Amino acid sequence: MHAQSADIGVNTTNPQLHLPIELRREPTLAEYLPGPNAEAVEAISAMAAGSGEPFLFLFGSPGTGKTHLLQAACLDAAQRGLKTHFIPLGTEGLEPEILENLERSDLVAIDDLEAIAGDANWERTLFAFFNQIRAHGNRLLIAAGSAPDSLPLTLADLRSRLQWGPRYCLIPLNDAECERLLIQSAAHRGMRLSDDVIRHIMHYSARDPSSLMTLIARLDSISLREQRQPTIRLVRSAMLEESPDR
Amino acid sequence: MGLWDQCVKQLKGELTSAEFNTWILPLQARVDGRLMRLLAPNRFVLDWTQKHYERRLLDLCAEFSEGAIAQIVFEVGGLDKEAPIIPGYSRFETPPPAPDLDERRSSANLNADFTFDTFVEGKSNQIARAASMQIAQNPGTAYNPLFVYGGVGLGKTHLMHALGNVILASNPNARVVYLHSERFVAEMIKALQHNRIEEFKKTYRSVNALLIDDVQFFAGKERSQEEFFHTFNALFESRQQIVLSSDRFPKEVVGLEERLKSRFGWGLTVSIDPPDLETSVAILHCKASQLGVELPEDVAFFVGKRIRSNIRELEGALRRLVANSQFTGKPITMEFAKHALKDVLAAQDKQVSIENIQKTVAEYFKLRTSDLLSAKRSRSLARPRQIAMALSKELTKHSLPEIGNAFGGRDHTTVLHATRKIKSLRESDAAVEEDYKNLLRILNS
Repeated sequence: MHAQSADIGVNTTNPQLHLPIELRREPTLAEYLPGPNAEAVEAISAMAAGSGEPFLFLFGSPGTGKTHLLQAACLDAAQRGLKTHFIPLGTEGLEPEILENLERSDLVAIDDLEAIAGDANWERTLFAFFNQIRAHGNRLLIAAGSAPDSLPLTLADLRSRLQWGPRYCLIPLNDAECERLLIQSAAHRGMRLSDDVIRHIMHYSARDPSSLMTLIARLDSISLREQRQPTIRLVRSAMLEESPDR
Repeated sequence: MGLWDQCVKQLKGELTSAEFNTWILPLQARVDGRLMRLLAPNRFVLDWTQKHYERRLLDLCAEFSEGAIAQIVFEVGGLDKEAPIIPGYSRFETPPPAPDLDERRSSANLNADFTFDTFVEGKSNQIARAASMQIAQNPGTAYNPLFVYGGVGLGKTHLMHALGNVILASNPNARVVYLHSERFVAEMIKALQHNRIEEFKKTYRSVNALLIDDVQFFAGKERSQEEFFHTFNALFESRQQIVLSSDRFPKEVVGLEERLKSRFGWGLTVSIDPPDLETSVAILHCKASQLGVELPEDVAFFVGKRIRSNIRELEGALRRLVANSQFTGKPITMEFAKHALKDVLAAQDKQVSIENIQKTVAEYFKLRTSDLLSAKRSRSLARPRQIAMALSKELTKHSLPEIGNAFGGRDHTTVLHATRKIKSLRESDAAVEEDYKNLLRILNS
């Protein structure tokens, strides 16, 4: 998994195991840098708290943090004792039967809707599920790459239901916001990034939250292993590392 | 920390957050002697969790319980509030005496917010509304069945609920059941599985009003159609009210048995068309006042003009506007609305929907949208329909089968033929060319 780690490790005498466990921090709502998406984050937080809209549709380009927000909402709701389900429709092997009975949960978050667009069986099941969860008075949060109007759905009944609540297009962070995110998420891990390091990252890494957070996690791992604060050299090593399964 | 909490904490560190959230978080655990019972919300989650995580869970349980737990049993359960298998029956063994209106409404699956008062009347729906009102006052005698048809998001469901609510309120003994056809099918399958089909039959054949939404979803489900056929007959013969809705005219619902289609047309069939601008504006005002917000007239016209396809989308846009206003503390003005709805409107601008094309073409040729979707093949309908199909091909990203489906379930070859036909007519017939260009301009403006 870490093909390059032998080349970059200085302290090779006793290399600790550095599985990507550090990547697996639980997503939280607080950790999401709202930037231009503050209203969406507030609406989602309200749903996670068991109030707010019965249904909300979230869309935006990859890396804008849709999955993060959905998962964070579920975890937040679960901590309040609410019953929640996170359903990533892009998961291989998933069948529509996974939705059975879930209308009785307080909050269901469905991710990657585009993965099932055009599949008649899935669309009908989702349509029926939408009606059911609404009838039960529980909350539904759906995310997709594009707005309901642009998804290649075949069932007009489903499309019109997806248009029923407020929809939020997540806007990518600008460079200043990305820098804030870098500093904030490094600080969460007890790292301090110098201006040079930040500039280097902003030049050479993809500037979306997801890539940046992954990079910070790897940097943290290397920094721990080498027992030193992040430098440009460590950033380069982190960028060279093979992408672990996330 | 309990045993299960320890397992959860450990797994949170081992699994990706997606795996953890999807498969571990929803589980509930009960320790039962040397047994750990894990409750999954359904069979699918149960099978998946068992297949992928049973071994690891067993190791963790053994470790954290120091060997006290030796076995894990997976079961479906954990989501309480077990819904009654059959609506209309309370989940209590003996129903409490004289249930109040709220209870009766909830066991009828009726939504108290959907009333005639909150249904905004306009040219596009006034006949459907009047018929529903009359039936609500004289169930079983006025028209039976009432069949309401029209496109998505135009208020069919609202009318059915309103009708049911009036029947319930005016007769303390009336038993009403509102059900989506998908749910009817699911309940029937559940009843069959649990050997309760007789109870199922008895329930549905003994109501005073049965309201079934979206009967087109019965298509291709023979056993359900058979059961529904007998239910229909029993209710009809005992003069109990039946109300049905669909996205198209009874005769045109594909995949439905002839005997059902013909019965659906026995009573009164009424259509609901997309609202005109004035009605859209009135709907927006009505929904806004339900949300406790006053909507300026120019904003209502702006939203109504820009969002034409269906009422759900109107409501979605309004909710976004209200949320934005509450979030920023700013009043809703024209400038504010333009800014707050820019992504909703951008999506509208980018994508002309098939429904929008159908509506615009129907208006242009002074037809009803439902005519375009019907099976009728007279020249006065066929040409506009072909034009609408050709426009759908040109202006949307939908595939030919999707377009065919949106035009009353037609085959993709029909759409292909239409696009070719219109292409050649535009070259040979100046009138067709002019209509087509006008429509393009309207749709793109």
